[in-house]
Amino acid sequence: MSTLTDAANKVPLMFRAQVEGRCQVQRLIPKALEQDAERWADEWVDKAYPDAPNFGKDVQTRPYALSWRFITNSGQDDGVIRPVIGARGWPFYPGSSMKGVFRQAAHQLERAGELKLGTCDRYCGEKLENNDFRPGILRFHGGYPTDTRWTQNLVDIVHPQQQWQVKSNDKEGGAFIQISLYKPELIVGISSTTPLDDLEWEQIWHIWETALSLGLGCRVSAGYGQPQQRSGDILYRTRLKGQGQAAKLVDGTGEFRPNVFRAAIRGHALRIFGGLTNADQAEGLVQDLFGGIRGGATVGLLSMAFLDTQLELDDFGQGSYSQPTYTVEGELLWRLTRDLPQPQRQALTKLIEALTRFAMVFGGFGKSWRRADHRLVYPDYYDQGYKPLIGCHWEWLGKRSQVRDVRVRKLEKVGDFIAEVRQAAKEWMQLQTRTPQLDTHANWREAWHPDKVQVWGRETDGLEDCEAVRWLHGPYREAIPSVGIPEGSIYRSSITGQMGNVGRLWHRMYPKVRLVKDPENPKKPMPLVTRQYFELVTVFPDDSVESEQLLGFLNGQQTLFKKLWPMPRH
Amino acid sequence: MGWQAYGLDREAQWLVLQALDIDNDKDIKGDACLRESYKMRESVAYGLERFWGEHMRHQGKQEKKSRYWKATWDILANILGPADVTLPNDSDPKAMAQKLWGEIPVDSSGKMLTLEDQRLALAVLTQLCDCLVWWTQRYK
Repeated sequence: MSTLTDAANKVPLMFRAQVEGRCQVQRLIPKALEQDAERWADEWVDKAYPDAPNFGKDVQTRPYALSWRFITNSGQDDGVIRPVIGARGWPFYPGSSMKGVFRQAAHQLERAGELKLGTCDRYCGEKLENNDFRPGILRFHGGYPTDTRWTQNLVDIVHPQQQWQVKSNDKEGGAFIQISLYKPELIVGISSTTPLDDLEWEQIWHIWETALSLGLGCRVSAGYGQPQQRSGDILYRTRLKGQGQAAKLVDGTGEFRPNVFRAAIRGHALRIFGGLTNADQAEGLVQDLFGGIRGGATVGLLSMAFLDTQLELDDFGQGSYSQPTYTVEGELLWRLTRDLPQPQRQALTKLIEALTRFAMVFGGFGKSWRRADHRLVYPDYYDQGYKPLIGCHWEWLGKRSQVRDVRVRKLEKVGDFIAEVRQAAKEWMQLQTRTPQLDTHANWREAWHPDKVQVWGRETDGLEDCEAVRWLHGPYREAIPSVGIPEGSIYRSSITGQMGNVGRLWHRMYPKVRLVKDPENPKKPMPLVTRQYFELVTVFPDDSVESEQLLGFLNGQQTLFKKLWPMPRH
Repeated sequence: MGWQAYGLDREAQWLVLQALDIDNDKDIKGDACLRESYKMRESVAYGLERFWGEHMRHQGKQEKKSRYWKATWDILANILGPADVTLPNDSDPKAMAQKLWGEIPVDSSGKMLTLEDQRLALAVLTQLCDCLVWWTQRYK
């Protein structure tokens, strides 16, 4: 028998000890030539059959495209989330999971009176009084991708960073890897033990599609497993366009990850609630809304999907500063994941609208969301050659969003708008029997409380008429030695932040969209996108000298910016 | 060669009872380990190295689980002894991999683990894990 040389190193990663030196799929090693996860995925794809498995001929099937990534945890490898591998080595959405969400949806539709009572039991089985069980008539066969596109972009990097973004500079975790499918189209199968007519099949697919609208697989509240169709109980939807820095996949290519919306808005929810009550209650409220892992995994009330209608990935910058970038347009949807009494439903709708608008007014989404896009507001910056890509830029897209979602049409409206957001949060809290406490706040860097944060703003003539961007890269005030005024600067201070240290200043250019009369339909207002922008600077002061001096400068030594929040008491 | 009763079932019972004891010991850090037998049965499909590696992966994090996996490995090695298969027991994953995949001798005797040995060990491990699952169901 011939012996294999170097046999141990030819063993596929799946069959190796999951320890350092042999295989660590979940671990991201910075600057490694090849990540274990990439090799793991290649080995998997390489051995999978080229054609998809087929369902039997008595199985009814339908295909569904998903809007972004999809993950079902196999549960077989501790420490890494990777798909279930089914027939022919293809990723598989298990029938048992399918049945679970189907049953849930059927129950929900029964309670809502849309389905005849007992339908769910007929389809999915029921427990009988004598502890026996009567099986349902339906068989759920699970789902497979419809073609080999699933083999692309399997390696997915996840960065847990809420702690770091909102609360303090302690980083949790870092990056880890999971294996998920990128924008797959899945075909799912259902069969029945008794023949059913077409009408009944329609009803069955309707139940399934209700289930589907909440997302399939795991991490659905983070935007995974969301269908590319506008169904389900949609609380709020709006259209956006934006540009900024794309997330980097392990191989260095860019990906626009729709979970940036959820991350940003979840973060803002924490800030707003953190300004109305203590840390513990704020976290509880946010967990109820968006899901989380505090005290056991919870599915949130809200699930998010972003359906892109246009997406381009590109690169910006030279040499080691080269970064993947995106420009994207699409529709952002927030769905309700379970029934709520009407007053709560209304309050939640108001809240998620308010939080999304808040994110749009004061920041952006994704990497570098605290800064205005330097390519637009400070193009000279890049004339110097080797400079990092900074900031992002987002705008409301389309008439409907520009009419409904723009709440700040005048600079003076910013204060009212913040009050409106806080009011929406207070109303939601009260319905959750939590009393807002105006004199407490969470002890976080960015809790949104009048004692913790100030918003300053001005109206500008265009994107390049941008003042505060210069404060980030040089002095905001020249020294006047004759009267003993030293140079003022927050450059490289705790205010602007540095690598590994989140700053205390947000800088945003928010487009001014006016409402004018539509000449063809004078009763209806029409949005008019102007050349002007509101330049907004949000500061979370700390007790540093730079912070004190900046506030002194804003309050007394300049006239461009007005203080917008907290508003002076009347 | 006479009859040899390898006593898989009894070894499995002993392991499960040990696991119960470990779970009841408050001084040992880590999660409950009794139900690890289901994971063990699953991981057999991935082969000897993967199975052995699990105790290493849990080390320092989930000490109870780590001990259970290692104890199972040690028992497997004990059982295979009378069948004249020497299972390696090294603490270095790379050396262990080379020994398990038949590249270098399993110990100082110069003996190598052959493909037949690997298959035999895996078959016995599968059976042992089946027994573990059976006893776990009895005791949980």
